[in-house]
Amino acid sequence: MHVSPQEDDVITAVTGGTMKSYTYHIPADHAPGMHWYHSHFHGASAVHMQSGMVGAILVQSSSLPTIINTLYSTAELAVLSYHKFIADTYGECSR
Amino acid sequence: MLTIHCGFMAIDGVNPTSDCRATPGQAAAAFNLAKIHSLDEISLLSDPSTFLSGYTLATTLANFTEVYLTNGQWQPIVTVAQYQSKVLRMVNAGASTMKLYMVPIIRQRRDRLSRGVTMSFAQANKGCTMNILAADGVFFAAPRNRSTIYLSAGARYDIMFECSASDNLMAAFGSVLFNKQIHPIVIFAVSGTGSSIGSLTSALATIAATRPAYLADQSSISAVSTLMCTTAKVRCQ
Repeated sequence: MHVSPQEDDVITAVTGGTMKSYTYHIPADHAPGMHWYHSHFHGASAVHMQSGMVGAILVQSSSLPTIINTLYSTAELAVLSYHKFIADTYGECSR
Repeated sequence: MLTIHCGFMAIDGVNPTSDCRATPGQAAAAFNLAKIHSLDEISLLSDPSTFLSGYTLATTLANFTEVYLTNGQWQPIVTVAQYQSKVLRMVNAGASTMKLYMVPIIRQRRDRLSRGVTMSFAQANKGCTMNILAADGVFFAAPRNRSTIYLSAGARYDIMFECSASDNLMAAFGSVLFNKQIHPIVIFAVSGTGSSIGSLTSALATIAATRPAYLADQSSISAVSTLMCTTAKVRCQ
């Protein structure tokens, strides 16, 4: 997403059990298409993403050609995530 | 039943336990792209004896395990008609690059393949064509036909698939894991006959012309070039 690096904060930490709201200013003419969000605290982004702190953001447009709207009317989102973990003999993560 | 508790969140809490459950020997449920499943639920989608790319449960549990999930689902199935133009809007929500191929599958082997049997490189890139329409949220000027795709960490691609496979064939969109063999991440089930939407070249060229201000071509704007020369101290003519 075309957002300010001052709003895409990689330093602020949110401790467990607490919440923080972020505000992003997105340009009115932002390019239509597929974007996404994820945790961005440096040093922990990968494990956060592998824990599911991700999602898709679709920027839509009313001015796309009809053929594109037709084609994309049946489009599917596919959020691909990579997971690496250890499970014990009970199938639970040991660490 | 293999249960895994690794803290993978179920993003959609509306109906978190429905769909995409399959027990060994049964057909997989419909691909539900509206929700992201928890790892607890994924254990219900897979044959515990072959969970994770055909490795036995004993082998899997004795080693580091790694797996690609699509919307939190283990090798989900998308049903498409023959020659139907199907767009997948993909994001690599991970920290490493994925190398992606198309792989043909024979339907009779679906139950095995959908639970992790791997394929060789020689079997790749047949059955479906791939055209990239957009990258990182920006449309290309024309579709780009590719047989192999590198999806780097965080990258997005809108990919249009057309499968020429007949009714008894399937195709998988695979990545590489484990001994240079291909591990399906999305499986296309071809059912019925459709018609191709045709060339999108002209339509996409129109889209490329309506880019936002921040994507404008600034190479010929003298004011910007001057600004760069003075502030970034780059060598300018």
